[in-house]
Amino acid sequence: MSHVIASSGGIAWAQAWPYVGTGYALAVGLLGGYGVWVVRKLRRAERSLPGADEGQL
Amino acid sequence: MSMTAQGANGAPGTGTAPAGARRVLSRTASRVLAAVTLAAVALRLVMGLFVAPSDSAGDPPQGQVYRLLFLHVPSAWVAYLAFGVTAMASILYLIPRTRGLQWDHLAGASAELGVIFTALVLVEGSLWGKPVWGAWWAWDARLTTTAVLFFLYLGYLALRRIGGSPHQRSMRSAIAALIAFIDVPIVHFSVTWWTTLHQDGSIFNQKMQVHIQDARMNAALIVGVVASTLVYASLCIARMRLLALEEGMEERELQAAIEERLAARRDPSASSPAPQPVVTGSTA
Repeated sequence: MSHVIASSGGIAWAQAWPYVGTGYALAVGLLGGYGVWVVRKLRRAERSLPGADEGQL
Repeated sequence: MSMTAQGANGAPGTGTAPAGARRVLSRTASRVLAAVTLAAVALRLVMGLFVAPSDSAGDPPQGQVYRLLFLHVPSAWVAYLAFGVTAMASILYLIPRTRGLQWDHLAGASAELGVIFTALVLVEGSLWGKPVWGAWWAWDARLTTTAVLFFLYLGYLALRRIGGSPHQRSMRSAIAALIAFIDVPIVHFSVTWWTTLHQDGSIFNQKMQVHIQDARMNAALIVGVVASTLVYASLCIARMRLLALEEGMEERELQAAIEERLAARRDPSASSPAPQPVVTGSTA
């Protein structure tokens, strides 16, 4: 790929998209998946502990 | 410790939420934070992928692949922040005057997010390194110390799962967090202390000269840092509360089991004890 770097405009979308796309998809997937997991478990815990939603700090 | 003696749960056995599980933010404030976070993430994707121009002025120019840095750099910043918060919360737990399980929950929640962001730093750096350096990985000082950081905090999270009273778990976790934090400045200054393949600071170099000259690139990077910090804050608050609620549930179950055992001792006919295993001598 270094020959692409050496060219005047750097790496074009045609070569870059698999790397850039994977990076962005992974970030959204990992953080989004973790967020969904935490919120689901939190809702379940709040339902099983009466009064869990009362106190506010 | 008073908290464990009285129970980390504010009212053990009553089925109420533990004191440490009180909301950091009200429900409305949580929803506003979530909405602002999602908007920042959307803006960050648009800025990073479409608004920032292709890198044609770099030496050598990186073209489109440099867009990964709009994820990589903010993830590194948030990883530092998360491990810093873990260290601070651990110190507050270790000081008897400020000790409280909420600091342990904050330390645990923040470390978990720090590990996720460090994993993203490593993967995104690797995805960028392949087309630019020609290799997925190099045993460079910055990369190696970052990998060590990732595994140190994975170990910290594993240590948090080992049994014991909440106080015992929190004490050993706090000490481990402070030991693991030693690697954070080593990661940061590795590019200064050693000759590395990894470049100097992405925004400022050692002489505090700004690397990035294009305003749209700078804007995309700043939006990325803000969005990542908001994601961290939102998830950390939710995870911290979940840790407190889970601890409350554990304590409630333990309290119920103790009460059941005491009731059975007072009135053996009231409950039927579980069948005991028959001992038949040597079974080895």
